[in-house]
Amino acid sequence: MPKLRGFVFAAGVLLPVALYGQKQAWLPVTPQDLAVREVPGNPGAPAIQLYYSQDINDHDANNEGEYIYHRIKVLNEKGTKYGDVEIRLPSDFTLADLKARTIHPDGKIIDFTGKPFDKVIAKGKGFKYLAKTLTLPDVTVGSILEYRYKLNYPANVLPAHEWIAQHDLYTLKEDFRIHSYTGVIRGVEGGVGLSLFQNLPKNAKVQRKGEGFELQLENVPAFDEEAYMPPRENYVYHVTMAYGGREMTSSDKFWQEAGLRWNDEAEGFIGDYKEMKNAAAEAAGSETDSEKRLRRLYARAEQIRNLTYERARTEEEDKRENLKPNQNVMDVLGRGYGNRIDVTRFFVALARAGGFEASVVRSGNRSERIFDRGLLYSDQLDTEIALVRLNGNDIYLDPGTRFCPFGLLRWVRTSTKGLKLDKKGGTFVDVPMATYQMALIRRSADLSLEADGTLQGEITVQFNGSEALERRLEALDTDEAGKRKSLEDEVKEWLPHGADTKLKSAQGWEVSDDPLQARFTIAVPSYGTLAGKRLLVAGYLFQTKQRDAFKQQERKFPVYFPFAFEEDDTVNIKVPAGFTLESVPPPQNANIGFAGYQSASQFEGSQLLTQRVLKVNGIFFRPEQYAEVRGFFNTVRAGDEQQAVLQGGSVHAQKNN
Amino acid sequence: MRKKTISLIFSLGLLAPAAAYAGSVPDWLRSLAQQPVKKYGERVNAVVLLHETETTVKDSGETITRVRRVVRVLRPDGRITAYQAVPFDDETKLNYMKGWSISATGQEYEAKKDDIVELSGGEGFEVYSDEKYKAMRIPGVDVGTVVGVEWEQKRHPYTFEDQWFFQGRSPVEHARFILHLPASWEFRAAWINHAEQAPVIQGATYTWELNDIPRIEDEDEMPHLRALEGQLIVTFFSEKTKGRSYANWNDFGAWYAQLTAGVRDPSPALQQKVQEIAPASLPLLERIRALARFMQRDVRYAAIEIGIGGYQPHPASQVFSNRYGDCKDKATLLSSMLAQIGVKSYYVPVHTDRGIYTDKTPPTNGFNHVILAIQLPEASYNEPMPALYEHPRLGHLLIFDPTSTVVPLGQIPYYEQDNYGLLVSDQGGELIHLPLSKPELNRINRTAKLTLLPDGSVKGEVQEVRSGSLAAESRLTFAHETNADRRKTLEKFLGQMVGNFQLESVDADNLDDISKDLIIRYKFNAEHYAKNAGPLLLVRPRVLGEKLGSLDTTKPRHYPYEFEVPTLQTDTFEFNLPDGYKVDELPDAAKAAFAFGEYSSKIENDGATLKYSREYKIKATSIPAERIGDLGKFFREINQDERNMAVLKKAN
Repeated sequence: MPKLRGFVFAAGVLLPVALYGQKQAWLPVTPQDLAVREVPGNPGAPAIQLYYSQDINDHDANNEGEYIYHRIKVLNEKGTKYGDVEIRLPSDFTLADLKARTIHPDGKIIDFTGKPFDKVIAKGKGFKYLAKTLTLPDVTVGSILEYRYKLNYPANVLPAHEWIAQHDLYTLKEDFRIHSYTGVIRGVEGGVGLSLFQNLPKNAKVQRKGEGFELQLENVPAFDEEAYMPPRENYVYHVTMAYGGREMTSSDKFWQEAGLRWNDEAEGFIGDYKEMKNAAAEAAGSETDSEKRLRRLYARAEQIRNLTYERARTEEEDKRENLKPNQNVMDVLGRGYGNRIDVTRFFVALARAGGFEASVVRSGNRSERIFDRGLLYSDQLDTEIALVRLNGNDIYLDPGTRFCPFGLLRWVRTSTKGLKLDKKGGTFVDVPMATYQMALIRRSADLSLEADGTLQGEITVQFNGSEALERRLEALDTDEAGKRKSLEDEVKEWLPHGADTKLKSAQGWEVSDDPLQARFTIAVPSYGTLAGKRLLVAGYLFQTKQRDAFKQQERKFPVYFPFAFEEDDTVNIKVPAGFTLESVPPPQNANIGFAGYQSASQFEGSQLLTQRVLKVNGIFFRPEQYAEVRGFFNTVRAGDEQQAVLQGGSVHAQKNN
Repeated sequence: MRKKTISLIFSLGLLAPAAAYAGSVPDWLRSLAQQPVKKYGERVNAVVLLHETETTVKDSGETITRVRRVVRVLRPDGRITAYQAVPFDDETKLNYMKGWSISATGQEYEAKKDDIVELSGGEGFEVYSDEKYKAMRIPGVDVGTVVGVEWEQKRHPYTFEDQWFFQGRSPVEHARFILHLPASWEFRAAWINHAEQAPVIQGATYTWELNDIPRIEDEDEMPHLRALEGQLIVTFFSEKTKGRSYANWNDFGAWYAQLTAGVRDPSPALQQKVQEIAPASLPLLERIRALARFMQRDVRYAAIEIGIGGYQPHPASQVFSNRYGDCKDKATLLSSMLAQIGVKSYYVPVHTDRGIYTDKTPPTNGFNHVILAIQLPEASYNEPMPALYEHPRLGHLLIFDPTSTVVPLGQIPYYEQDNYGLLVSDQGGELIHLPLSKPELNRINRTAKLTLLPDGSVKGEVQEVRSGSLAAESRLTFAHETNADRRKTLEKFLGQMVGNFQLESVDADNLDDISKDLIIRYKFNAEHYAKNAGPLLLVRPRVLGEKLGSLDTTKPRHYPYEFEVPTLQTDTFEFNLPDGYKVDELPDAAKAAFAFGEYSSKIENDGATLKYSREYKIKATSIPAERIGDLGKFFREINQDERNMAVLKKAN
């Protein structure tokens, strides 16, 4: 019987799991196993995985399934937690031949003789996710824990497979095998093949072996995530596998076929309707300047009610509210609503109707995974943006993102590949990075320092570009009180500990092109500090929000910011009467290739005025750049903490009264 | 020990929008939806219009509880009300669960069976628990929607009581508890965090009704929600349920004693192990210590809770054989081992959040942890032990938590201090106040010897000596980290106060010896620590450590402010001054003294060195809301002191 391809990874959804397999026997415990005392290069690690194996058999109908084997050694008390095992099963999978045991350092073997518990992770109509749980007996520091089992698939289904090559434990040795299926797959014409997509250490290579593949790895470090790193999926070692026909023979072929399919869908939706010409003409009005005309068309598309940014509704709710899926741009025009892809296509149709050369670009989301052309998984490009030729230049536009201004893309769709669709399937294009000017925070503080050191007054904040867009999108899930709290909390984060912040006004929540602007009153106790007759005060008020990214000295993975940014600040502090200036903070200036920082203070009358600009025009900093970037941000921090020194004779007495 | 609570589980992915239909929205819900909308604070997400629990006790002891809950969504964040979850397990059957919504425009929806999923329950720490949830997504929920749910549970309870929690994070306009009892049954009602109220009685039906119950606000360092929310505890009595209802703590203790009868019987292997690790040649206290350490280090925590297993320990012989168990299993095995050396010990069920049980709490089954009271013979110890409880009848009881891997015999974890536990003795039970340690027993003594350079850089060595609860808490992370992760922990700590630093070395003593103080040493250097200002060098003498707590003084305080444990913390930082620099001006010394705590600092200068020292002492675990102004003053003084700078000047 032909098999169906499945889309659930057999092992990818499992938690702490591994295997040896086909032989259905324990491996001998070697003197080397017994001698292991710590993880190489990482003393203090709780446990080490001595062996892990995944052995997949899709070939032999009488013995198909996946054999998994773990051998773990407990190195300290914390490692005893590996005695608790939970094996999660994808829906309709079953588990067989589970064996587990504890081996003490003296060689004594204690078999697990109980029955694993059946745990319902989630069960509903059409799905059932179960787990088997067990706890190994007599687990002590120095024990070797091992367990093995077989996963059986649902009948006549070939699941997508994944070899998990990197775990939360350092693994000494790993064996992976697949004996692939060679029969007929329902819905796949021509020859069936198994394609592998891999992210592995440089020296590792998957080898073809008979009708399958195998891989051996040694000394695989634990995957240890770091803050501010790019998406995990792009870095953890793994091999994914999928069966398919001719579309799976190469990545070019795969994306071409996907592109053809998407292009058919998009062009079928966009069509060529005279009503769209009328709509474009109406929107553009008498404007003759190309860019202004295009902006008007963009603004028209943005008027479409964007359902992607509304709460999820049930089918029944859609029905009651008379919300129907759009089949083409005429539906969008007539109904006045659509999801983000509908709006993008509507804009492309308007642009074309208005005489522009406009294309649909299939795009992904780099917050979840940085696009990998070699990974033949079409959901990597799950949405669409527009590409328009304007005055000889290509410009990317994102009308499907609510509040996204003309000329800007939401950051998740920048600095990555996109597939520009056409009749031949499309061409990969580099969607450019949004430069620092497109994410500007401009702050202006007008403050007074009291003689007791309390700083109070007003600050005005202007969020521009991506900085405004992200806050507007987040605010869609809340109300006025929620927006107020969110802004007040954010400003509090910028200020020294103990600051009180009250929002006075905010405007620009519901627009795309203008800045989001907010005014606050603030009070910061003990901002100025007294030392004898001197009052010391930092000229610059705000804390850099990236300071947490650079506390560590060492870095394994790149530092990754969502978008380039600029901060442009003016802080004006009126000093208390009776104080005179002794010194202002010295000017600060730092530049590296992708970032610049300038800060300058001056004293005028009774005002301490500080102007400061920080520009970071990069989002991805490799580990070898880390020291330089960390050094830069440390310079910024040190510069921001510089103090002005004021002299005043009566302060001491005031404080003690 | 199992904690039975009803909580919401949100599984949006699993509860994908399914078809719903305008079904038979009940009249009681329609009627409530038509009630005038009252005004609430702008941050109140939802208001509970009705919280009704109706319990019917059958003569057989079977209990049927039907709950109706109606909520009006006031803000977008209140839309989470669309997700409702109800627990059940092998002894509690969920007869049905229904949900409806009526939108602000009058659209009516009803959840279908497809909108309900089953999820595993438990508290998350168990290897396995038979507790599960049915979680339901109700369609049509938006701001202005009125959501109604109704469910019915059939229970065969181990103990005959109902805990009615009528207060929570949302205000409640109307709450009602209805009790139907068989004719021969009696009940006792007790109130927690609410004035006592008599029921309306109609035959064998008793009804309590409450109106306009305020919500529990969210405040910094507030007590646990359950320590604040209003509850009604109703206990049922019948001749048929003798031993499973309790009129007082003594009865409750008796129930627990009979539940645990026999589980401490030893096996030969267990007895042999006791002789091996605690030979008679050792002094008695050393024998007890050896057994306690065995339990903490060599018996792994693993909880498997099925049915009565949520309350009843596994036999000591089985726990010993498996070398794993949960809190009550570990207490059981240790008790059994102690008995082999002639030391008697008693179970003490507790709740790991302070304030839920107090001296006023009526007997109720809500403990979630079990520890042990070890009866020390006279003259078996000659050292002061903060965990010692003097009992008028049983004498010296040493409270000990065998589940904790970081708190040694003689001390108890901070969350059990100043808490209440049920001492289960042969005579029954009594609620006892667990001892609170003195500040001097929970110390951080941080000393630093630093050298300041003319360019503002600082370098030097820091030593931290931690004792008591502060050592235990640090060990939980620091001792169980890899060397690399320890560096990261310290880097995070340093990075809060010092920029541009390099951590040169990290070293620790007594990481694994929990009976000794934890000592952590590290060396670091930091560029631009002190700020140059012309001929001046400005240096913050409080280099490390932040004692300032989080407290919003701009809003009225409703609840006490909680500290984990009394503590005494001292810092002494000595700077060698750069050549050619002298102290020009120093900030004032700090001093603040209140009943709950004291803070003082001073800076001394002998020409070549600058010495900053401070002492921070917290004497209480809870500061009443009415004294929050004093706490604000206390924190202000600390804030000022922590930011203060000394001014050095270059000699001409």
